[in-house]
Amino acid sequence: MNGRIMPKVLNQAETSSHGRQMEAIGQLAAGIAHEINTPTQYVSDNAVFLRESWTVIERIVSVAARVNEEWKRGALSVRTREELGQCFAGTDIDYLANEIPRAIDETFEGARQVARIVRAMNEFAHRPSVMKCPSDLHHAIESTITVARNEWKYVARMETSFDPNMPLVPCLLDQINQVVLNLIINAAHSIGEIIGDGSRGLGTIRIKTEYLDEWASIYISDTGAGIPEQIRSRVFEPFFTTKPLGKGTGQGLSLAHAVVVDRHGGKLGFDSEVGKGTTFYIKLPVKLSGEN
Amino acid sequence: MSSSSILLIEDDLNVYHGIQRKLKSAGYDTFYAPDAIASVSQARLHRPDLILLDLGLPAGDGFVVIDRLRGLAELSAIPIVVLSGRDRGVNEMRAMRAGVAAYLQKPVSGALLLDTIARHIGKPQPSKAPSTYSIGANLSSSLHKTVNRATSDDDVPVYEWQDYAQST
Repeated sequence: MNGRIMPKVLNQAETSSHGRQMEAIGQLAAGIAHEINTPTQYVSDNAVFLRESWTVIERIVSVAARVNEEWKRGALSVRTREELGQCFAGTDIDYLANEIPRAIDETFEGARQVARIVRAMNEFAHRPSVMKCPSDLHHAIESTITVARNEWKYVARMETSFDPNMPLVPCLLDQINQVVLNLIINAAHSIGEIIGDGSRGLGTIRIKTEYLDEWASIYISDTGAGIPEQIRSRVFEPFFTTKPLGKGTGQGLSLAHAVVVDRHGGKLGFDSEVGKGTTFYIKLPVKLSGEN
Repeated sequence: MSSSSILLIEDDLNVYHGIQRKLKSAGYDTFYAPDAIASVSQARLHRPDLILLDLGLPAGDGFVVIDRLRGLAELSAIPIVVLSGRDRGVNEMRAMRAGVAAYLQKPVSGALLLDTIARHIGKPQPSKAPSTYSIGANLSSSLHKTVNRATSDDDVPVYEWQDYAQST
């Protein structure tokens, strides 16, 4: 093998991660539906508003055309002038002039939002990787943030800081997506535990990437409750969870460990301070083992 | 007598603008609160006739808001209509138990929204409908017609809805 790496082909058991990924999409489905229902609401409202506004404008345009015609003929009738005056008397032109462009802009924004969600969902659920492919981690992280938005937006602000020197990273992207998703959801749950009734405001989730010494790192930090000292050694154990029933299966972090450490030769760990928050890190080798 | 007012508690500004235009067209005054914290202070300040409440809110969801409003004697009688993108099921049941007047799921048609509001606080007084806004005038005159054709030619598909208020 003269410095050439044969890609590792996954076996059947490993590709079943796609099933888990589809399961993740299923769990996110209600949130994604909500994210699509919201722009649908205002796109529809705006369309109705524009339709109603047009009935007013159409009348003004029609009378204005008549004014122009009669004016050109030098025969502008009092009746036509009065009719034009009536159009304006019954219409708040300033209101329409402000609201119509805004309704149009918001309608475009709604359409863009739906397109963004659908695209992110497609990218997140992209077909299972059978070999490690050079991947754009930043793009993948952004898609994952988008599909999970409904999980975090009520408890946290999302901040990202991406290293512009990050190269394409050889990885099983669908599985890395799932790890990032699990860590974002964990961060949101952890913040949710401490914001209580909301009177203390939102927490923060920060996702930072760094490329250093041939390692691609992703740091996911939260301002949540932190992980108590006595359970830190157990968080990667399968089926270990501190979440209430129905909120976690206890598999997220053990699967993340299997993906990052076992399948990528990477590192997965965390720093935590009770009451301050937790930072999980994923470190992936940018050069596959044996590569020059 | 002032025109009927509605407090819209909604975290998405675009949704708020869309519904505000609809309510203004129909002749209602609107006030706005973007989150759970502002909702109580806005309700206290404006004493609206009805509250239109999204369930998903930053820093404390709609159920927190319902509890807070219901716990304040001066605000507890204001009818609350939930307007949420969340799946009905358990949310609707929970909202109903918490004492909301009606539960609507986004996207909701304008006709259904206005009809639901009118059931609880009536239609705005004609004299208080926007006097210089002819879209409002047009809509007011066609409102009955619009409501009656709610399922045939409206802006979005009309969802089933439930009204939990006791008819009096």
